[in-house]
Amino acid sequence: MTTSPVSNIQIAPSEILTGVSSAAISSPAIGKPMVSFRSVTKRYGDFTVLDGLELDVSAGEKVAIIGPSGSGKSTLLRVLMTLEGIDEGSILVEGESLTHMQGRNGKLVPTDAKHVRAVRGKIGMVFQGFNLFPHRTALQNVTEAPVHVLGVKPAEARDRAVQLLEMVGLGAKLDHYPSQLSGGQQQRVAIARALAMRPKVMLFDEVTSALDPELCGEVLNVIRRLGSEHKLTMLMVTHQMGFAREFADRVCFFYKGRIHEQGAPGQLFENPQEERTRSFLSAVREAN
Amino acid sequence: MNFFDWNYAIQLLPELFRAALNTISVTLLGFAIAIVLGLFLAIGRRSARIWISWPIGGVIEFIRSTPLLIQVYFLYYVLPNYGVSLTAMQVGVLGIGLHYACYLAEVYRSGLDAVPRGQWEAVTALNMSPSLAYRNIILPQALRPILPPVGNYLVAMLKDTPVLSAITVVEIMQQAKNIGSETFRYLEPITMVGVFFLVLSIVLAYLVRRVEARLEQK
Repeated sequence: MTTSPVSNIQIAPSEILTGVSSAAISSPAIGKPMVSFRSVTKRYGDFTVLDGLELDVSAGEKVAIIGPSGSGKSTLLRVLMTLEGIDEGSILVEGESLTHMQGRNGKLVPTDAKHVRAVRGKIGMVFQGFNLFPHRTALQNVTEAPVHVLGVKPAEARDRAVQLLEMVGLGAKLDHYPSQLSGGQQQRVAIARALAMRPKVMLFDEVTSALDPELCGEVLNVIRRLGSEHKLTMLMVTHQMGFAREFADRVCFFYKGRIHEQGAPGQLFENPQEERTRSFLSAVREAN
Repeated sequence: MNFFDWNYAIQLLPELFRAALNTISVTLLGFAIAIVLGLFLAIGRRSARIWISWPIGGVIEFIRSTPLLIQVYFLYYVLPNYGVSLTAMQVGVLGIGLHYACYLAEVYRSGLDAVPRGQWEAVTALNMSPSLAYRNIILPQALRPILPPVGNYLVAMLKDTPVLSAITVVEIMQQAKNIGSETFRYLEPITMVGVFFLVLSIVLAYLVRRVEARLEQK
């Protein structure tokens, strides 16, 4: 894995990033996980992607998710981002359910669009395929949602977008369209775009898989910086074992829609307890 | 057999010109209805709620599968029996607008389907409302590739306006026929109508290409 340093990344103060202090991020979640999956099951026809999954992620925790393809890693992020529904169980973000809410009579009722949007606003996501808006410049990609969703004043949104784009090393590319940027640059714009919504939880779905190896480094450096300087909660599906090991507080090995084994990176990578984990890790090492 | 009588042709110009205004206004008003209504029909047909998408799909298929002539006949001659009386011009605009809205709905649908799924995922991840997502992100990307077929339908619609003569709308073709039946000279009026449609079609096609080129630059 290449991790070429990106020299023009500037260090930004914490407020630029989240707009809230790290205390504000972690305080509501004392004793309460930031994200909880409770017996979450998701099926595609006969195929069970997530099988009664249980997972708690605390505020500020960085969780790397690894595992063979089809094990449900990406689906975990996608159901949390509400890109897909779940069949059973519940998902809580800061104790608030994505699937149910308190009805008028105090009973739990299925969530309406407004509630889902309120909860979903705490989450940001970066995709494998970048998914930038091709008809918008880098700057417009970053300001679009803050202005129209959060109601931030255009001038203010622009200032902050410039700061974020400078932070990811793209201060000189503000007016470039996605088609004029390399894959690594596009992915860094996508990270800035997600951060502009001030999420508390960031999801990274194989964000370097579509990149040439030499471009991975610039993206991973940005994520590394986010992780070390800010108290964002991060869930990352990755095939970059080296990065997972160095970056994550906890590594979860997914197999058949469940967490087959999890632990601190040192322990899981050095001394996996389960046979399936060992065979996966050795297969990955061989491939590299 | 007389050759083309230029003096006679020039005498006809004012009459034909007045009728041409009707043709043009029916086309433009009808097209305005078609592009707006067509969009809503397309979005409705894509709805996940089948009580929205199925009826809309049914209406689109019904209207696309029956002739415009029958539809305008029905609107003009049958609806008054049920207390809905519209002028010939109103029915003409509505009928042709509705008819082409259903064709355009299918064109919109192809454009919307061509927007990559990742764009929908991005707007969801950025917590955009569906209307904001459509307005600012999805439609700008969906519209660009469908402009050529939309332009084709605009020209096709222009050329369909003589159908409205069946419900007494005096558009340019009807006017030419009226002149011919009074004077027994059809050569000049019909030729002029043909030239009118030719010129207007070329102008419209040119305008559509201009719009395409402008979008291309953006």
